[in-house]
Amino acid sequence: MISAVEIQSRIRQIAIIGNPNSGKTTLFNALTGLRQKVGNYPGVTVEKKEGQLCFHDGTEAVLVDLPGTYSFTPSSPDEQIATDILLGGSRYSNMPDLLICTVDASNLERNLYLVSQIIDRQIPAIVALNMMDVAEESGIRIDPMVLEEELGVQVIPTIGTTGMGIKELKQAIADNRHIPWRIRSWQLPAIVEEELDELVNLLEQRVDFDRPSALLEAVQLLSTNNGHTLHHSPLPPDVLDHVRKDRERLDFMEIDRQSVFVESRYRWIKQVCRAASKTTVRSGIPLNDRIDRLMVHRIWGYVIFLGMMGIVFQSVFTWAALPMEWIGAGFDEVGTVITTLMPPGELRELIVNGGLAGVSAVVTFLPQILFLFFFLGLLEDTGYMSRAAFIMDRLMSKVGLHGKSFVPLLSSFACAIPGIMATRTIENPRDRLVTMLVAPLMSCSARLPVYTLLIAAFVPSTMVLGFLSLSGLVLLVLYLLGMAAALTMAWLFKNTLLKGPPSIFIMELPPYRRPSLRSICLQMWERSKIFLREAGTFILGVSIVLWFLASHPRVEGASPAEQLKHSFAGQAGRLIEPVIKPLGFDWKIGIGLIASVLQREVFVSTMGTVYNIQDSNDDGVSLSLKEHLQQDIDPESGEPSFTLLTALCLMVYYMLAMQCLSTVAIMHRETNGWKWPLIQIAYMTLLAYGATFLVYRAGLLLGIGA
Amino acid sequence: MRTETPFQSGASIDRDKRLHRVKNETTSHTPLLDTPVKRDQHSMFSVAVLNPGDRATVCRIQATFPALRQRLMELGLITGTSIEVIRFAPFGDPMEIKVNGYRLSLRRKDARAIIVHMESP
Repeated sequence: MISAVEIQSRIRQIAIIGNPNSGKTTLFNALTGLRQKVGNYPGVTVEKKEGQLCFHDGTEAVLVDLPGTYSFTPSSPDEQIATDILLGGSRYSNMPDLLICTVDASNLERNLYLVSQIIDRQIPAIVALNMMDVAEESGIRIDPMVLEEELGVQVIPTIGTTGMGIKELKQAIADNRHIPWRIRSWQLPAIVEEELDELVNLLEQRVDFDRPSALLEAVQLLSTNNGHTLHHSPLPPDVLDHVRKDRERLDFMEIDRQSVFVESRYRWIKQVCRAASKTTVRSGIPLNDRIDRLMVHRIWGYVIFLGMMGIVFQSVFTWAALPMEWIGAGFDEVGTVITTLMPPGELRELIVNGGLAGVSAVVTFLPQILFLFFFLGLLEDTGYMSRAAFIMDRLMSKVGLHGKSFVPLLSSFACAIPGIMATRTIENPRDRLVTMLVAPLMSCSARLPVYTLLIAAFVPSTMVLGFLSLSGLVLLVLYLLGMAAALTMAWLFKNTLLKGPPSIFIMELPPYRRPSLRSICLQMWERSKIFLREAGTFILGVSIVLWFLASHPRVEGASPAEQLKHSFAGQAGRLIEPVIKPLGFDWKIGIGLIASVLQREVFVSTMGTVYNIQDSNDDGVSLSLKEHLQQDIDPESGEPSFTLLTALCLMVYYMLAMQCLSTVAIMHRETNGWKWPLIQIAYMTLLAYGATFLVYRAGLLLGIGA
Repeated sequence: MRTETPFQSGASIDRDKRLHRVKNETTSHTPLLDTPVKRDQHSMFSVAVLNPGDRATVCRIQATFPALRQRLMELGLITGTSIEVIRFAPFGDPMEIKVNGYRLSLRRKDARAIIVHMESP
C-alpha cells in the first residue's frame, strides 16, 4: 500500500481548474498536445482527461483537466468531482500537488471567486491569467504583478489560442516557486467572524480537519442548513449542536447566513480588481453586440440557425456518405482480394463475412463522427452554441429539456451515434441522459434503405393534391412521427424516471471568439479514437457472432437461402414467429429482424438472401426484391404474405425499435455502464412492439391488410 | 451588515407578483394599461419584469431553493451589483442580462429570484 503511494508521489500530479469558458481546455491542449488520455471517473458519466507534461530537464508530470466549475458549491456531477478532488479525500484522485487555475482576464471578478476559495484551501497554485487579448480589446488592462501581489499567488498572463505565455507557464510549473500562504484575506462582519473562528477551531480539534479544510467546512456549515460536511460525511452530535446554536444566534441577529459569506468574498475581490486592473470605457457598440443582435433576432436568428443546422445536417447526411461509400468499397475490395488469395473454408468465411464486415461497419461511422464533431467544435468554440441554445430553449423547455438538447437531437436524424456523443455539451446530467435516451428515435440514415424498399414495393405511386407523391409523403410522416415519439418520450422521462429538482438553467453567453482549429482537430481525433476503441471492439464482436449465427450449422451444397433458413438465425426466426405474429410478421421477417440487430440496413440484404436473390448490384437487389416481396404467397392461406399493411407495420417497427447495437455500444461508453443502454433497449422495444401491434390491428379493422 | 431596504419581504413579494401580472398583461397586448408602470427609484422589482435596456441594482436574491440562490450570488448577483437587461429570447424566454461585464442567460422563472431597484436613466 505504502509503496504504491510512493510510486505515485514520484510523478507530480498537476490539475487544471477554472470557470467554464475560461479557456481551460485550450490551455490544457496547448500544454499537453497529443499526449492525452480520455477515460471516465469510476461510476459516473463524467469524463476524465489526463495528459502528459514534459519539461526541458526530461522530467514529466501528469496534468489532469478537471471539469469547469464556478465555485466549491457544486450543482452538477461534473462540478462535484472537481470540488471533491480539490477538497481532498476524493475516491477519484489524489490531492493534486499543484493547481493551475485559469482565469478569464476579461471577466476577472467572477473568475477570482473560485481563486479565492482555492487560496483558502491552500493548495499550491498558479493563476493562468488567460484571454489577455480579449480583455485588452474590451478595454481592460490588468497588471499581473499587482494581481500577484494582491492575491499572494503566482500569476502568468497567457493567451491560450495563440500560445502566448505557455512557455512561461510551463517554466513556472517546473520551478514550482512557492509563495508563502496568507491567512484568509477576506473579512467578515465582526459577529460572523467570531462564530466562524470558533467553529473552525472546534472542527480542527473534534473532526480532525486541517485548518484550510476546517475553514471551508465551517463556511459551508454556517451558510447552509445542512447537517453534514462537504464530503457528505456526518458530524459528531456535539459539533452539530454547536453549529445549530451558531446558526440560531446569527439568524437572531438577522444576518443572512448565505449571502454574508459570498458578499464578503466579493468585497475583497472588488478591492483586488480595483488595485490590479483599469477599465477604459469604449465608445460605440462593440462588434460582439452587433453580431448578437443578428444571431438572436426573432427572424434572422432562426434563419441563421436553420441555415447552420442545414449545413451540419447536410455534412453528416450527404457529404459523409461519399467517404462512407469509399470505405465500403475499399473493404469490399479487400474482401475480394482475401477471397481470391485464401482457400475456401471456415477461416476465409470468418475473416471476410465476420471480421471484415464488422470492421467495415465500425469504420463507416467515422466520416459522420468526424464531420459532426468538426461543426460542433466550430459552433462551440465560436460561442454560437450558447446562442442557439438561447433561441431554442423555449421550444425545448416544453418537453422539459434544455435548449442545448436541440443540436444532438437534430444530428441524430443522420446517425444517433454522433448525436449521442454530441450530448456532452449539455451540462445538466439528467437533461443529457434524457436526450441520449430519445436520440435513437429520430429516424437515422440507416432506416432510409428499409423505408425506401418498403415504400417502393407497397405504397402506390399516386399523387396527393396533384403535386405531392404519396411515397414522399409517407417518408415525411415517418420522419415526423419519429420526432414526435422522441419529444413525447423525453417529456415522459422527465416526468417519471428522471424526475428531480428543477434544473437551473443559467448559462453564460461568452463573447464570440475566433475558433482554434487545433482544439477542434484534437477533439475530432479524440472522439474517433474513443469510438473505435470502445464501441468498435463491441461492434466487431457482435458482427462475428451474427455471422456465425447466420451461417451455422453448415448445410452441404445448399443455396444461400437454404443455408440461411437452416442456420441458427433461421431457426431463431421461426422460434420468434409466435411473438411477432401479432404484428403481422412471419418467420422470414423474423430472420430479417434478427440479422439486422447490429445495423438496420442489413434487413434489406438479408431479405435479399431469404428470397434467394443472388449476385446483383444494390439497385438490382432492391428492384427484384421488391417484386419478390409483392409476389410472396403464404403457403397456408394462399394469400400474399407481404401486404401494404405488413410494410406499414415494418416501417413503424423500424422507426421505433432499437435495431442498432452500435448505438447500444456508444450508450454503454457514454453512460459508463449497462443500466441505461438496457433501459433504452427495453423501452424502445416495448414502444415499437406496442405501436406496431396497434397499427396492425387498426389496419385489419380498416381492411388495408386484405 | 448592510441595513435592509425599507420594503420588507412580505409587501414586496405582493408587489412583485402584481407587477409581474401587469407586465404579462401589457406584453400580451390587452388594453388594460396604456401608461407604463410608474417606477420611482425606491420601488423594487424582479428582474423578470424589466424591459430590454433597463439598468438596475440588485437588492437581494430571493430564491425558492437555496441552490439557485447560492449559484446566482456566486455568479456575482449580490446586493449592490449593477445589471442591465439586454434582451429576451424571441418567444419571451429565456432572458439575457449583463452582470459585471459578462452576459448571462436565465429563464424568467429563475430571474424572478433577483430583486432589484431601478437605476435612474
